[in-house]
Amino acid sequence: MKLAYYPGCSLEGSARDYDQSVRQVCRAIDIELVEIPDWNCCGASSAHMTDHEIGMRLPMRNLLLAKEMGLDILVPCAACFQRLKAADKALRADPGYWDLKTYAPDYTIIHISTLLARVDILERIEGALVKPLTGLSLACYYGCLSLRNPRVTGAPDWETPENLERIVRAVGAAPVSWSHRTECCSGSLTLARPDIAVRLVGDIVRAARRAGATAIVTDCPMCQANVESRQLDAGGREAPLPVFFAAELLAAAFSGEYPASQQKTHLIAPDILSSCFSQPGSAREGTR
Amino acid sequence: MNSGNMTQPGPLPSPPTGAVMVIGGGIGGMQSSLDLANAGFKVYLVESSPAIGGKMAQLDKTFPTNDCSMCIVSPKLVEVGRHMNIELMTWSEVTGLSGEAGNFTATVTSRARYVDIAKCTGCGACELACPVTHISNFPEEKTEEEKPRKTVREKRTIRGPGSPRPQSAHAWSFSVVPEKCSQCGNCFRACLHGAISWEKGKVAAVLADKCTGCGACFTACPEKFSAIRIDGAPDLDRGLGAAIVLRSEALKKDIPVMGRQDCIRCGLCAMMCKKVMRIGALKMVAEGIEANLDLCQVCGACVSTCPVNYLAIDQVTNKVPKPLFNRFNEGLNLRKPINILYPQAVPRVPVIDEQSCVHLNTGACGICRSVCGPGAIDYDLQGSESEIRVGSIIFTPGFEVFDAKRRGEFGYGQYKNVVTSIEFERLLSASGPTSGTVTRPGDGGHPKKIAWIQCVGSRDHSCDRDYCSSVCCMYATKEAYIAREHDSAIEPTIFYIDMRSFGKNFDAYVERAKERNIRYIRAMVSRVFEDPQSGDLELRYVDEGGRKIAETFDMVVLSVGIQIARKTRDLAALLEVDLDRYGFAVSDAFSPLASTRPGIFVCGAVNGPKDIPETVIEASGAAQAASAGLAAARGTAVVTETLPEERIPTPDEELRIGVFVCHCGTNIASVVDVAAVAEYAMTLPGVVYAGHPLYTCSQDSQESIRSIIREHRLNRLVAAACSPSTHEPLFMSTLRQAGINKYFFDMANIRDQCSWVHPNEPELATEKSKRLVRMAVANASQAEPLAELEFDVNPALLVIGGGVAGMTAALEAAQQAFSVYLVEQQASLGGQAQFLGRTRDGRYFRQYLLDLKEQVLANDRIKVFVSSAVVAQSGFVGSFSTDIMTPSGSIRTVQHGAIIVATGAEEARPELYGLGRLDRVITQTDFSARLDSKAIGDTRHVVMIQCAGSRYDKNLQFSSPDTGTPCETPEQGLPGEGQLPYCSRVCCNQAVKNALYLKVQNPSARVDILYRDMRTYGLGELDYQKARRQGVNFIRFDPRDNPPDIRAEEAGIEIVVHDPSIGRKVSLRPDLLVLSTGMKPRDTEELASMLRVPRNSNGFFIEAHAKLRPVDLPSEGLYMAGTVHAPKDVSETIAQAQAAVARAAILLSKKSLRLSGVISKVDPTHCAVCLTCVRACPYGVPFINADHTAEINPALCQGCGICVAECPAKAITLGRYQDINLKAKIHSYAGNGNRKGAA
Repeated sequence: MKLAYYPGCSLEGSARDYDQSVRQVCRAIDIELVEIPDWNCCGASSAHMTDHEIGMRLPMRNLLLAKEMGLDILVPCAACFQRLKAADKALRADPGYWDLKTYAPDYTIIHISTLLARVDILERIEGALVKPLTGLSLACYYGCLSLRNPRVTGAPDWETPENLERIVRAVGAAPVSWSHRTECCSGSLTLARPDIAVRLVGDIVRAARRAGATAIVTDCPMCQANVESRQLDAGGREAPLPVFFAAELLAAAFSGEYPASQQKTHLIAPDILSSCFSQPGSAREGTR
Repeated sequence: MNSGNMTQPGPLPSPPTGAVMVIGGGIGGMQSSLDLANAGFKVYLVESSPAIGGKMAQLDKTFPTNDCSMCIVSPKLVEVGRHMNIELMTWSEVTGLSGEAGNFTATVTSRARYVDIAKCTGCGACELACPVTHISNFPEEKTEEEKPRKTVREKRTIRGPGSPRPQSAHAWSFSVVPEKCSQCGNCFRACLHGAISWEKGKVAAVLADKCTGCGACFTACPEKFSAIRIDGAPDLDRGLGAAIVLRSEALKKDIPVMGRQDCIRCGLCAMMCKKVMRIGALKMVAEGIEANLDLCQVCGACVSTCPVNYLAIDQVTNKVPKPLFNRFNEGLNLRKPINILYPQAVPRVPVIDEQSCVHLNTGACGICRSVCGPGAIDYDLQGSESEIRVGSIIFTPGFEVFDAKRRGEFGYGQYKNVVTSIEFERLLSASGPTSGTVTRPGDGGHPKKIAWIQCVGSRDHSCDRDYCSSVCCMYATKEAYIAREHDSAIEPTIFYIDMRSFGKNFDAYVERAKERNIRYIRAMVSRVFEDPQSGDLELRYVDEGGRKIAETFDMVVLSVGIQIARKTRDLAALLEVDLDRYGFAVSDAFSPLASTRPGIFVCGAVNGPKDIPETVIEASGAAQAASAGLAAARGTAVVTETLPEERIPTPDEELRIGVFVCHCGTNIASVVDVAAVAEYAMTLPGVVYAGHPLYTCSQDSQESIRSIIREHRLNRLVAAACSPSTHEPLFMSTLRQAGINKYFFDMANIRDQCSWVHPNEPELATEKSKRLVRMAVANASQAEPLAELEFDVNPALLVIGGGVAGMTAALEAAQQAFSVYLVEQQASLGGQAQFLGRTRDGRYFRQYLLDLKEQVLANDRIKVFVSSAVVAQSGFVGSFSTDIMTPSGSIRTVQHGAIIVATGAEEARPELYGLGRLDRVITQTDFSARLDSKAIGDTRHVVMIQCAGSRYDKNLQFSSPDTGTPCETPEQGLPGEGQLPYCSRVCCNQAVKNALYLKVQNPSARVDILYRDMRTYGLGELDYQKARRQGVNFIRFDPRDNPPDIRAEEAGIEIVVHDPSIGRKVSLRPDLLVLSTGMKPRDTEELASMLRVPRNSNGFFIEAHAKLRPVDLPSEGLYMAGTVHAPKDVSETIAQAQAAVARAAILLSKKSLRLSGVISKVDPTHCAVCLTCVRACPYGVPFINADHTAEINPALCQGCGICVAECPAKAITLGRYQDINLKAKIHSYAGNGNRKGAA
């Protein structure tokens, strides 16, 4: 399988390790990623808030670049995914408005979890496991951008998604049943209104903890950064919950190791995952 | 035939078939079937589920009278079930249709039931005995690899807290049959107690003194030898499975629930698994039970057989168990593969589920067949296909509820304590999974705070359910109300958008709910969060003040909307009936019950969301529409009842009384000890039989009562059950069918008078029940046989009122070949509809009325009296005589058999906001007329005020609960001049319609609609949505907290109102103020007293029963149609007019009629001619005859008994209520039972 790959800015900045995990995981399950040449910002952060035209034209340029490749586009970042989908929809609906004669490419824009939770991919994941993460109780957390607005994202079950749960089960861990899976973490407000961010993140983490989760799994780089960082601000008596990327779990389970460099990317100590790999000897044997 | 053929245009090619097929056995289908069959047409009722009853059978109570749904529907079930001209085709589907109106040929495919309906008695023994509780993993087709696989099998030993203790109660004895023994030693190795003696090459033997009867040897002995023999096992002659079930039951009775923990080594699980299910996945080992996880088929038989709950389904398998959920109980509990749909089901015959039955899949088991006494189980039964010729078809497939999982934010399917409203109905129901205890499904706890969330799958564009489901506001109110009656600690809260209580007496019901501490919050809940540990649910919403609220509840009920099932759409496609995008039938406003295919008619929820009485009206209407074209074939396809000769008792015949004490499910039995009452009844003089059936009114009970009458040679019958007003006719006809005079009967109402009023004093309630039974027995002892009079029926109909309802009724009746007298007070026909503009679908009333009038006037069978009035009325059902004052002043007397009252209503014109004084202030009707004549000029801004003079809330009327008819308390003060206390139902739709028409004529016009609750019910919601999209402004006000300030003067109109959606005051200066004033009934006070029928305090006629007889007036032979009943729109009026004719046709199509034997008789020798009776009779029946004594015409007597009580000379007697009857009752009440011994 060969996919066009759109990493987006986060994956070159705060979530650089996410980019590495995604590439590593895809390699392990025979998915070839071809980075879109000369891609630019998707317009998620400030452009679409400032100017609709710019907010649409930025992702459109990426789409037009990808069109030349003739491949489906894989997007790990939820915000990038949302913007690219919105641009794609707008182009298809009325290409003329955007100065194109026609626009009807047959590619689809795929969010990382949608790809990984496909039945055939899950089989590949199960086949590639070196160290199943048995014993981990995880709260799968989707946030909003990869699902809403469903008319843009095309998510079939935007209130009750299952993709992360399927992936978590495939790596041998146990997803908990909990209530805040698709709540907003306030990622977009985290700098402007830290008071709101602390409260919303607090609600999410509390719910995950009450459901028996020892860590949170997500597929959105904003959620990952925000939920980890705002937990530290909230303080409190209970130990904070680390937030992992689903791809990060897969990379560790495939390689049989959870390197210190990866551990360091977390603001909250990811001991719960590293303890799965506490016997380096056996983990070493597993690598190919 | 006649010119007024509205429903079946065009002449029929060949003589029509006098039979109708009704598709769907819910309340609509049942009503259509009964109306048709009683009017002389053969009915084929096709129902896809195993029993009729539909959704109504699943409901607990009904609004707004709080009648028990099952109690009122069950007589209908029974009547349909035993009607000789209704052929019930349950578990069947229509799979083909050819032909055309008048002569269809339908193909009906019946699925295999595997139980012979003709033989089954509905005893339910099969269901009790069946051990299977799960959908098994049956091996797929055994084509490949017959060889046993060499894979390692996973095994698990199930251990209890202690070590296994052999239990020898009800033990069987085992022995070896020497000639069969193969000397293999398997039994020796299996026995854990050293009770087998065996040596290699020798025949084994059981050592009886050591044997504990666990049957391990039996299970271990290879199938091909079967050398172990069982003795002393009751029921073994029926089969091993039956014997295992019986022993398991016996052990369960012996061992108290508390003592159940360790394995008792009964060996039943292993024997069941190996020898009955032929699996052999269980084996007894020293520490407990060893389960071979891979072998297990997960049928659950071992678990249900275990007498001590030692085994659990997830212990014996490594597969995911698939519980077999009870669909009738909405999956809240489990069922068996052989299952009777519900206890009162008609037919009460189980169906075997092909998916889960072990026998049908593997050939093993077969327990049900072995326990069935009548031999009704037949695994070889096949499905069948039949071709049926019918003249027309009624399509009433009903609805399904919205899949609440589609609104994921509420967590249905994920959070255990979030249930749907239909599930909550089952939780409330006495025959439901919790026997009527309101419990949380998550933990079985008693919820205190319960929230209802309205509009789940209704009024919701996001899931393509834009329409309003019409019933949810009321059923949520009812569920909250009843939940509090079950448990007064419950605090209900209902979250809603608009309170759509638009039906008759609905607002009063909601007000009553508010008085009972039911909280209503106008807010949509955005999200539900479950606390995973406590199971409590946090709801988030924004209240009316704009505050964000998070509130925790113990349980959430989702008020799911109604939708049309996929299956229904497929069936409609097969029938070539057009449906709209939501699946509702496409029909015309002026022929609301005709589908797009001639000869096929629709009624019920498939014709748009509606409640039970509306469905019943449409069902009767559809019966009329379907039979109108078949009138020529009436009576050609039916059979008539032949009753056995009535046995005349000899004067000295000994009393042989049978008493039936009803459980009424748990309605009675949960309070009254019915077994004790029955036992007591046996001690009463004359009683030779006493029983206590679960539902005495069910169809199988009637059959068993008939056979008990024969068997015990009973000559009197007493039923201790519910209300005689609903159930007496049923029991009396059962008695008559057994050849006994039906007045040899009495009934004790131990439900209403004992279990319902004394729920907290079961012992005293039982004592009271005994007394009531004693009195009923005493009364029955004194009963005399009464003769019923037969009268001829005059096949003519009087219709009072010449509006849409009256004209429709006249034409429909003429089509049925009845003569019609149509009386209209005004100079021309047309009624209120003359002032209306267009319908919602754009049809003009003017043209429609012209056509209608023309047809009426041209019809030879209809005699029209305009400018005329009914001035005197006499006679009785089937033979009325009415004086009509004609314009010339002369009186014309007409004779007829039935009356339809259709006097209608008019638009109210209250003196409000300058209406009638100012040109700028008009009513909706005025406005629609201006729109029609394009006379709106340059009107740029229109304000409409809803409920102008309606829903006047100081005078809300209350109807009392638990009675069939709403009885309303007297008004405390007269409402203001022209002010109406009720909701007029049509005004919201009318306002939206007119606003849209204005927008068509003048798109830039501004429209503001000031409303309290937008009641655009059903598909009217689509127009409401359209109006908002087109920029019509809707501003909500509250007459108490936020009344609009309206100043209407010559100079102009100014309205200041607080708009809650923007949170500030707005000031409006419209060119035109349009008032939605509602409708008020015509002045019918005189007419009502002449006809002796009651009206409610608002002037609308009261129906015979709010739910199930919405067209009948309480007096026999009188029916009503249109707005004389309650406010309604034109389509609803037409449907009711058709329904009224269907009801009248039952009467008019009969040659003669039987009247009740309970009538007053004057003994001339004692009559003093004092005229007391003449004055006392409310019906004016007694008169002084030529012989100078009082005489009572038996045909007119209503049997009320007033004259009997008033007569000073005691010259009048009333059958069944003579002094000897009453004295017997009183004596037996006072006495101590007059036991047989003492007597």
